[in-house]
Amino acid sequence: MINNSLHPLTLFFNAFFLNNLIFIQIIGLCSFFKITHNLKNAAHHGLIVIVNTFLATLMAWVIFYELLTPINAQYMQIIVFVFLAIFIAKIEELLLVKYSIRLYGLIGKNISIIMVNCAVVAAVFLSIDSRLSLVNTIIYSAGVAIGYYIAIILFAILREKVSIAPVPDSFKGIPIDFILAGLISITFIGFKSILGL
Amino acid sequence: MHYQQNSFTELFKELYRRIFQRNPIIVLIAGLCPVLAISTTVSNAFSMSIIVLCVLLLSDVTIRLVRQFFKIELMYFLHVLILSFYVTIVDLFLKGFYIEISNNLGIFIPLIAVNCLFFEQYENSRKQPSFLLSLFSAIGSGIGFALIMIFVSFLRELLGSGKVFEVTVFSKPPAIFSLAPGGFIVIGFITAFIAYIGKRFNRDDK
Repeated sequence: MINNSLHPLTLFFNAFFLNNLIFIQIIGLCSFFKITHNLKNAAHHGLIVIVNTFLATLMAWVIFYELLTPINAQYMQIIVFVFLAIFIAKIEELLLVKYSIRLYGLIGKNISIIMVNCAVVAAVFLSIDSRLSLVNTIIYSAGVAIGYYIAIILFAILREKVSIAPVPDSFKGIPIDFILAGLISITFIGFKSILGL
Repeated sequence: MHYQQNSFTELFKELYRRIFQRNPIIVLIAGLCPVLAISTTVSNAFSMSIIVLCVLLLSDVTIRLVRQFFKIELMYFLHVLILSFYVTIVDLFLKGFYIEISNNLGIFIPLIAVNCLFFEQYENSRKQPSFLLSLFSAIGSGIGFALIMIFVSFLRELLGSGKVFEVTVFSKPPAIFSLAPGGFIVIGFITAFIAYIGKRFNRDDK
């Protein structure tokens, strides 16, 4: 698993490929299946996830080590981190409404889905649980976020193709999507030995 | 508190509806992450199901009791607060008394606080004026989740390790079923099978 002794590049590729959040760790599937109906929607959603994951892990590191640890309140971490993710999404929504209503029209409806996105919260928990330093946390969150982005883009492209392909009657709709995700997951497992981890 | 009498048939109809017709996993595709990620053994699935059922019941009852004191705009945050409060209790309890379960389930215990299943259930109970009906609906969701979870984990343990409950069924199992892709493929075939049965017997699940 990840820790501070890994080389930064190894840490990045570990989060990005070898422990890809969706296809290897299987976290954040609810929004994953909701938003990958078309490529455009998935790309917008992925951009918000990148920003939110980055901000949330960074702020969580500061809160955990500068606020919760001095007063011995680490047991509060679940409540604090979940509310942090919601807080970031809410602030983003307000800023978008205030400054760029056009951009809000494009990606605004995705923000309510991401409010309690498992992927963002999971990245926070994983980075805090493995006691990463601040620099490593930034590298790790970048890896997780880009891994998520690549995963949803890949899946959205394939899903658009599969939705017009002839499949058996009972597999139409969500079953074929599950099997498609399983097949992509097999290819991701193939990368497991690439860095000798 | 708003309270009204419900007949037993009404309650069990709601229970049946939540378990089969509106199953959270198969039909609504909510709360998938634990079902796919930690269903590698039956014991894991069993402990996760019990945790989910407990948190569902407790959060549903608690939000019913306290929601009359808060404004309607705050309900969402109140729900998240209550949910993460119970998840914290469960997390600390498991770390204190059942460290093995806590290690096996790992990140998925804190992630219960952001599981879509609970938000779906919250949306359901918000519109439901009756206390008992919403309680039965929560129980139904929990049982529906548990049924699918235990079934998936049974299949994955059987196919992935070749043994069930420490009894070897066949040797040289395909290990892919105990890895991440196995979960996707198994649940894909289960949903396809249920769709097949639904079409075969021409029953419309509304």
